Amino acid sequence: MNYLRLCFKRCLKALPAVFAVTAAVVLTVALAVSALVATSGQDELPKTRVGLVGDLEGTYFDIGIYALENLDSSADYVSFSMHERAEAERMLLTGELDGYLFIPDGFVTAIIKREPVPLKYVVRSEPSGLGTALVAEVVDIAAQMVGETQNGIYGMQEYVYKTQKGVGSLYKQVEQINLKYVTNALDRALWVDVQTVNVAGAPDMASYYGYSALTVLLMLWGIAAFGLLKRGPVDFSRFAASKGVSVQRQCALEYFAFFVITLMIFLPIALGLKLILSGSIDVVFILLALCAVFAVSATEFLVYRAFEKTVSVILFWFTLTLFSCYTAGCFYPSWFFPEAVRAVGALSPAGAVFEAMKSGGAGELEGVLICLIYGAVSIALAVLFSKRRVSR
Amino acid sequence: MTAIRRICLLTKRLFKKPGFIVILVTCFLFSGALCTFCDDGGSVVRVAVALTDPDDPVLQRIAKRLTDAESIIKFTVTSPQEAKDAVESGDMDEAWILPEDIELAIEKYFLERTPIATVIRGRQDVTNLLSVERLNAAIYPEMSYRVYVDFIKSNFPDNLDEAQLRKSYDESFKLGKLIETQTVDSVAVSDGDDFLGASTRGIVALVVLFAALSAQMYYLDDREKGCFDGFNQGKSFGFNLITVMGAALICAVLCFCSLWVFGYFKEALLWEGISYIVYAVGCGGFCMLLGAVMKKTSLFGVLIPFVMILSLFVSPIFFEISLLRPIAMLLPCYWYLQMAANASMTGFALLYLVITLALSYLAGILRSKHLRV
Repeated sequence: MNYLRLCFKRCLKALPAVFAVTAAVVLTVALAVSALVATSGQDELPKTRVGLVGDLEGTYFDIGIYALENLDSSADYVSFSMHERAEAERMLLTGELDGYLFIPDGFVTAIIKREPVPLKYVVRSEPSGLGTALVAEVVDIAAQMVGETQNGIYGMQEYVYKTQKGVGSLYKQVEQINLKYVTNALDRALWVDVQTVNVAGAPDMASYYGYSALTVLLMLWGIAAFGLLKRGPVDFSRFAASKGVSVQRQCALEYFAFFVITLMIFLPIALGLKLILSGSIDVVFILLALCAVFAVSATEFLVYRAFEKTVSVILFWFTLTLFSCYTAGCFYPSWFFPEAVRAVGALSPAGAVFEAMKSGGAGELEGVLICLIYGAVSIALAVLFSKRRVSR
Repeated sequence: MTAIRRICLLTKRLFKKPGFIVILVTCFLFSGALCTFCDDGGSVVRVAVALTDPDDPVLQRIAKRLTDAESIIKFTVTSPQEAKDAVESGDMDEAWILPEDIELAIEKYFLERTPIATVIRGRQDVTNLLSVERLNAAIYPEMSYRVYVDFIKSNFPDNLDEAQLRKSYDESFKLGKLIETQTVDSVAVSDGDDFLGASTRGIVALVVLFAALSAQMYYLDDREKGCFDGFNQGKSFGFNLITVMGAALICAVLCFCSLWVFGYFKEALLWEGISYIVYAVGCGGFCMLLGAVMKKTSLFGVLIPFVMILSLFVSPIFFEISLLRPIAMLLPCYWYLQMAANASMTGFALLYLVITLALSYLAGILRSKHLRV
């Protein structure tokens, strides 16, 4: 009992500093997650602002831009504006535009004369990532559709030349087939019937990022709480053992104090998050949150018992946090990854915790077992390491 | 000679710490694992393409178009029931059900505006809009041919040459790629950019920053113990520089070798190496500046998780958050990623390096003056 009191006293002494760091980390993660949810988790897309630059003379462009802005389904997520090239470049660099489409001089005439003069979509020089991949995908889709339209228009001209039918009115025919293609493309929202089904246990994007933020915080707690977790001198352990507090008991009591403090900090955060996300808290979620805290805190406890130096522990834990949070899908959604990464991620500490939080959020008990195994094995190993240290 | 001996001795100290060796090995394996796991790219949306009649050549053509495309959407061809089940169980994000006679469905669409295909969606987010456009692009060749045929039939109805009709469409003049994507510096943006691989670079870079922060903590610990008390400001600065740069450069070399060995750096190896060295020195400067500002080792230790979190979320590793760019510009990781994406940013990265080193030296002078007073 005295040893337990001692453990709590030690933890409470270090708590103010630990609490300050945790608060700063929580605020930073909350800020980042809210920015992420704002950019990728919402149902409505923020509009991509595209500038139009270059040879914009002629009615084709006026009609085209009017159609894109008012009649096409892309109007929901793209807006167009016309600029001088220098102005567009400035706006691109200041973030007022997401990209600009450069139309070379005589573009329309070149197309009619069948001269290859490609349009250039210009973006900022940024490290490649999801944004770049999405832009490349959209451009590839657009290029494919434009290419197929070319087949139709040039094919019609080819047919007229080959069969010598209607050569005299070819110019008019080209205008008419163009119009057909434009009308068809503008109606493409009607091509498919979209139905949404409920997927059992699948969180929405806000819940997904909410639970992923909680998992990241729980993992980073291993660094922020180094004041609570660092080991006392080995002589003290030997002294306590000589007074009848066995190493196993010391470990159990030290872990218990740390678990209670962790629970005091993270359970209110988890419950508050659940309340914000779904408006209610149920027993299953509380149970899963307890299991998640047990698994992470026990693993953190083990690492601090396994390494001699605090700096080594912090470095190791940070590397593990990065790797396991990444593969578990805390930064990019897990379905972005190949199967092998998802399998590794699910078995990592962050994966176990994240799965438990998600299934708890959906009212399911999946993930309890892996958390309990993590916790039990970690505590057993921590006892082994501590015993070895005392007996040396 | 003395200076080189000091550098060797101060760096050797790091290798005597078993924890540092463990970290180096972990860094190597960690970088390698990320490269290996993410080698086959990734997918933003998983789609089950359901062919109602798997023997229909048109449906097979559409499926081939989808599976052959270099896309960030992953396609699996399956049956309609399996596709629906996969969406309901969460194994797939979408099921695209292509009807039995798609040519008839297209004809019906032009007559009655009834949808051609069905999309069953398990979740709703921004990537779904993109995936539907990919489906549209896959069925578009059939639609386009239909528009062309209808136009010819309505305008030139007499003596229709069916064989010439198909031949003219397939063999018509092709202008080639009509839209090219490039950066403001005229660097081409490739199709099917590996976005998972791109984040690997940033994550591994964070490990170098973390090693530099830890080395700075070792130095501050030694300083608190009075190991550098007999030296003037210039020499103390030198010791700090050697300790931090030693750790950062060793870690950077290891991460670089790991990325190279596991096939992440495929080209411009020299440039990647230079970027890594500039980044490691930048990390050193940044950590020394923080160390000069912080009075105690414990305070510096408290700051480490905060700096790492900030670097992880604010630097453009996963997402570029333009609102937080001014904060990101204070971090070395931001400049490294910019430099890796665009060589013209090297000047700014070097400027950052010089500013952090100069400021840390100045802060050191102010600190020593303050202590003397």
